[in-house]
Amino acid sequence: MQNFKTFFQISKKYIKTCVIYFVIFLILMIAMTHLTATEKTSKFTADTVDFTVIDKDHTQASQALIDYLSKKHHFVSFDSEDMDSIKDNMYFQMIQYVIMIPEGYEEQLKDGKYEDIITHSMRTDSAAGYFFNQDIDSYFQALSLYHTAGTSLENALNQTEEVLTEIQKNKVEVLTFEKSNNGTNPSGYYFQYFAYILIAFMLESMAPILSAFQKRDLAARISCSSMRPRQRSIGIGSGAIAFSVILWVLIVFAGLITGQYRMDTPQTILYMAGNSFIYLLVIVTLTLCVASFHLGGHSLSLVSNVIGLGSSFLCGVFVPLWLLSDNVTQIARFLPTYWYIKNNNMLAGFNGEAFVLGNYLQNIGLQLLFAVTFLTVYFVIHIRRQLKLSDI
Amino acid sequence: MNETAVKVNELVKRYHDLVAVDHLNLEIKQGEIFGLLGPNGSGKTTTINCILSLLNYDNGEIEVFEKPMTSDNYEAKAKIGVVMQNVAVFDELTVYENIDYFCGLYIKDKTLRKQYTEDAIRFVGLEDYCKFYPKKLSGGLLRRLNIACGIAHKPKLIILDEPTVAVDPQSRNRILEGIMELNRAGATIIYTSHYMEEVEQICKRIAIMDTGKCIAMGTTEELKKMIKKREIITIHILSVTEDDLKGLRGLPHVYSVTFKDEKLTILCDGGSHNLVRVLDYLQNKEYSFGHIHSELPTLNDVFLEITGKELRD
Repeated sequence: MQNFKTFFQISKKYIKTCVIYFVIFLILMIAMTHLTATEKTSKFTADTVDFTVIDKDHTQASQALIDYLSKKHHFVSFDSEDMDSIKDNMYFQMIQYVIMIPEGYEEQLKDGKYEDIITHSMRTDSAAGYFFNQDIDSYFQALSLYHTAGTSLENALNQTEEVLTEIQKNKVEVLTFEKSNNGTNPSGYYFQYFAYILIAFMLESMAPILSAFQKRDLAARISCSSMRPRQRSIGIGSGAIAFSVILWVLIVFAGLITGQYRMDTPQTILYMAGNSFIYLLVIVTLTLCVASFHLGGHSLSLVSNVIGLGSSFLCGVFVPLWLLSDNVTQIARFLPTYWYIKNNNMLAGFNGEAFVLGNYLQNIGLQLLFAVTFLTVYFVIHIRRQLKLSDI
Repeated sequence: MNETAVKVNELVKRYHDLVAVDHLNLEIKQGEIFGLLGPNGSGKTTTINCILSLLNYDNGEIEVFEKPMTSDNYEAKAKIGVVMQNVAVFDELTVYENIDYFCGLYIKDKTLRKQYTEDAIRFVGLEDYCKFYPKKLSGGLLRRLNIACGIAHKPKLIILDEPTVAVDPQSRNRILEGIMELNRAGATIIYTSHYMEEVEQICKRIAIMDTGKCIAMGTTEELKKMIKKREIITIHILSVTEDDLKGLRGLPHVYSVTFKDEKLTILCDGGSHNLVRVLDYLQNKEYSFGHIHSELPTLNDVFLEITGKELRD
């Protein structure tokens, strides 16, 4: 009990750091949750693309394509078909997409050629351009279906326009559906940022407490006492467990109190909390390892930032996993945060991923493997240090 | 109280090729203040760490309260109080919390622990600093806290490893007085230091160590008797002839006479009334002289004569 009590007496010294982190986390969480929701809405309003067409064919077929696209997007007309002038407009973001319909376009359609018969140019930094590409692909796919089925080109053009316009109406409904975040669970954002804050919290507040007990002179002095090493370890260990669990409970409940969870999905919240608890175990063992190196205030902050920010950026805490390159995600697989975030993404329905219990448990298992690895490293360091102490 | 508190037999500790403790034998009786005196690197702290089972050793046996001392001899450990050379306290705990923590490593009963903690605070005179953090304390106060942490559980054997390093004279005197008080209360003390005056002042028996070996052991008087030099007489005088220097050398018990920079130094190997004889001789030769000083040999002289080097080299 002596070491357990002392663990919390020492923690008083770091209470200020804890409170600062906790408040920053909550403010950040509340702000981020709202910001992310707003970002999602604006993404869909930006789906209308400003485009222009350089029509060399001037036929009914070329006009049908322009009409179809103009229904959904904003057609910008230019007097001149000078390519340099159009490129300038693209540069200044007056337009995002240029379609070039070559001479003989209609003839090619009649001959049953649908692929690569038009060329295009788009701003590479515009995500909406890719969406525009999809619209063009859909158009030619539908047109080819009707035309190859024996319909005349004129009828095929009309039917394509009708059907796609109908589908677009449905699409609008889908967009409206996603806009209200029905597909994703906002609680996911809270548990996503939890990954970073937990590392920062534990390394900045619990690591120094553990380090205090392991300072060479103090450890030697304590070894001289009649308290058995097992008793000491139990005292310090139970202090660390209690400290971590209290912290976890506080963070989880703070989410509840500040309305970060969508309470109509209690089971998902429980799975998320479970995932975060396993992640807590990983970080506790990581903290044990870091504490073994007796780092001082500045060094510890540095290590905390490197581990916390590094793993958060690599593993999809700050930047969604699906936006990271394959190389980055390959590296991230060797970090526990990746598997935590993978589970969280699945539970939150980010990127349209559906929840599969098997995958969830597999990711939990991988996190536990990391915990076991960190614990092994800690014991190796600890035993080596004990041997060194009694030999030097 | 003639029972043995600590017995070290043929202790050998090596660090690779360096022999830090070389076949050391010690026997410390209960109730005595035993001094381990030696220059830095002489093996004092290594010996202490071996006694405390903090270090593995290569050869020899150590007994504490007549039982083999091992790292799991908790019965013996409960009776030992340790004051390390480096201050070993928690920077994050207050003075009171630190003493309470170390006392709590031995004493389970809360009421007793509280009483012992308060006793220790009073003993080292830190009543006004209970709520201070160690970083706010001066060097002397920090050393006192270190001592309080080591003695709070009222141990029978107290090992103090250079407890007065970098301490102001006032705190040093207080610490030394405290150690003697602990001894009067029945504790056996092992005191290591390279300050010969301290050891001489408080220790009943002393072992002088050099290069891991015990080169001499006994009471202060016994140690001083081991060397030829017993009295050093210094006289300020303008000049002395060679014949008179020879005459002085011929006086009983005088074995060395030197004259340098108007200072006549006469070493005597014992006897009494040496100073009177020397002054009679000089007066008879009609010398006029100034400042006269006679001193007995110190432990440094003992060390110097045995090893050929100064204790603080």
